[in-house]
Amino acid sequence: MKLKVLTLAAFYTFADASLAMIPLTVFWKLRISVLQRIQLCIVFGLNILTSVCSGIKTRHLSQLGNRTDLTWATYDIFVWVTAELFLLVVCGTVPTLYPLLRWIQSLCVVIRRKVLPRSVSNEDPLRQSDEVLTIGKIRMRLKRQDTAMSSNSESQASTLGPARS
Amino acid sequence: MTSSWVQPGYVNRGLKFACTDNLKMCFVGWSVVLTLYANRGGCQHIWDVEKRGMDNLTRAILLNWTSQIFGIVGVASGKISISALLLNIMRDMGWTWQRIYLWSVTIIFTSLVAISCSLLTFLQCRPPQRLWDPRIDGTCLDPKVMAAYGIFTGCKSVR
Repeated sequence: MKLKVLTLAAFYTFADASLAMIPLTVFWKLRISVLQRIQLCIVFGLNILTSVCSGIKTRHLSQLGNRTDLTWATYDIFVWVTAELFLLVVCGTVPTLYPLLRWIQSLCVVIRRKVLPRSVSNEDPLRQSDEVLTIGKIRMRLKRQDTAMSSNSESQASTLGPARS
Repeated sequence: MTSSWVQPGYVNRGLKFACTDNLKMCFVGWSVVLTLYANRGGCQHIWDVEKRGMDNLTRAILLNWTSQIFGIVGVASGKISISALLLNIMRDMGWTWQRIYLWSVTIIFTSLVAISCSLLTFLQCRPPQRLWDPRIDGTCLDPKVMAAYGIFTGCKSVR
C-alpha cells in the first residue's frame, strides 16, 4: 500500500515538472534568437518552483488523517500551500510582463546610443523577425482584423445604401 | 465578424483569464479564511484551542476544512490557467503530443480530481456536521482514506 502511494507520488511529481518542460519543446522550434529562446524558457521554467513547493507539501499531507491534534498537524500544509498559491500567481502571470522586458531592452539601446554615439550599428535591435507573439499582440491583431472587416462591411453598406434609396 | 469567435484561440484565452481570476479569488479567500482561523487560535495544539470553549473549537475546525477547499481549487485553477496559456501560444501547431497531453492530463484530469477532492472533504462524514463538531453522533470515513486521497491530489498537485 505504501509502495503504491509512493509510486503515484513519484509519477505525479514527474507530471508536475513536465508542465515546466513542455514550453522548452515548443519554443525550441520557434524562429527566434537564442537569447529570446533562453529568456522564454527561464520565464516558463519558473513553474518548477511551484512543483518544488507542492512536493514538500505532499510530504506533510499524510497529516490530513490526524484526528487527535488536527489544528497543530495541518500547520505545515498551510505554510506550503500558501507558498505554492503565491508562486502560482506570480509565475503564471510573469509571461505577460514580456512587453516590459522589451521596453527595458529598447531603453538600454537608447542609452547606449547616447553614451557611445560612434558605435551605432545599422541593426535595429527590435527587428520584426525577432518579434514574439504575446497574447496582447495577438489580441491587438485580431482587433485590427475585426475593425478592418467591420469597416469593410460598413463601406460596402454605404456604397449599397444610396443605390437602394 | 462572427467567424472570429469560432477561432480556437478565444476558448483558450477565455479559459486562461477565467482561471487566473479564479486563482486570485481563491488566494484572497484562502488568506481571509486563514486569518479568521488564526484569530480563533488555529495552528495551536487542539487542547489549547479547546480552552477557549467548545464552540470556538468547532468553528476553528470548520475554518480549517474550509480553507483547504480554497487551496485545492486555487492550485488546480492555477495549473489550468498555465496550460491554457501554453495552448494559446501553440494554437497554430495542430494536434501535437503536447496539446493532447495538456488537454487530457493538465486540464480535464486536473479539474476532475480537484472537484472530487473538494466534495470528499466535506462529504466524508454523515451528517456532514460531524466533521467539525465532535458532539454530534455520526459516522465518518476512515481518516486514512482522506489522507490517501489528499496525497493523491497533492502529488498530482493537480497539474
